[in-house]
Amino acid sequence: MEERELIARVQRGEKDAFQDLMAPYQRKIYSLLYGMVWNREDALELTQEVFAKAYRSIKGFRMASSFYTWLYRIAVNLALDFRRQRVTNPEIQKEVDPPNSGGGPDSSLLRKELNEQIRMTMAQLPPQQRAVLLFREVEGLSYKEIAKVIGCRLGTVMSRLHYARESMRRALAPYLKGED
Amino acid sequence: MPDCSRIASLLEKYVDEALSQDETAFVKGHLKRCRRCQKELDELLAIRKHLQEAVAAEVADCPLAKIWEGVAERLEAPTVRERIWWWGKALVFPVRPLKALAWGAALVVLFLVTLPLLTAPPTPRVVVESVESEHPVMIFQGEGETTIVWLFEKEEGKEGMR
Repeated sequence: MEERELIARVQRGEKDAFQDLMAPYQRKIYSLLYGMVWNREDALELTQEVFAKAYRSIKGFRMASSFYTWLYRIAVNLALDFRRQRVTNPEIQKEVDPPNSGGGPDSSLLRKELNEQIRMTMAQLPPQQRAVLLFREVEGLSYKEIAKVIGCRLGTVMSRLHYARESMRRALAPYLKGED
Repeated sequence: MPDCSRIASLLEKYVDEALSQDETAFVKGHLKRCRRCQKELDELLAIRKHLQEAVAAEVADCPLAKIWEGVAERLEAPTVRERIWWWGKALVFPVRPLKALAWGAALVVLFLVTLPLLTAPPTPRVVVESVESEHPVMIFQGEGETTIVWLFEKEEGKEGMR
């Protein structure tokens, strides 16, 4: 069923259509939010918040932008609010998850170390830079799409992306050398 | 190579497929000849690959069923706005007679308890009506509820007071 039709059905109050509408996005939203917070529990909670908020505010969605742009905007704003709360309430700071790794023992250790380094570097990036990097590198959005979702100029997107990549390059330099 | 400085500013856009056709051709041509710029490109692509893998490793275990359980709970719970509306309505327009009676009784008791405190007589002020003294006396009201009494001694042989 076409997305527009599903949106119209949900706007009419058909709750069953909502899960079908969100099906293509659930993993993407979870992936984005995990990249923002690097904690499974928090990412799950935030994903639930995003979906609940999307359901409550879908009557206000006027098809002026694409649905995924609208949805991603909700996700980014909730993730940024979540980060701000963490900064002002350090007592609710949780441990980030230890990274998963695959493969044999040696590659597993190296993979784990690399993932750990990525996680730490991402956690230290300013939230806006982190969001732009995730949208570009993981979600594959264009500069223009990222600018629409985050609500900033193209130049700002490119600048944040550049600084985020520089931080990642510095942090991962030892691992990148080994790939020559 | 003089082109390398120009390539450095174009490389990220090249990786993001955001260059014009001419610029893309220029970058491709340079990369064939320049190992240093090729290495920079490889680093950018490696960062992308590692970040994608790090996120994908975690997201593979994404508990999709749990997402929807939590969404259903959140949609059943009232929003902040709904809670405020409910409490306002409950206080101003109680739904059940018993609830209204309970609220009314609580308000009456509160009123009866606080009424004596509100109508308590003021603490009587001490007023000096007379002073018996051989010496001249001056009485005046100080700041607040302080009464000041001055006693003057007469020096022998001198008029006036000290």
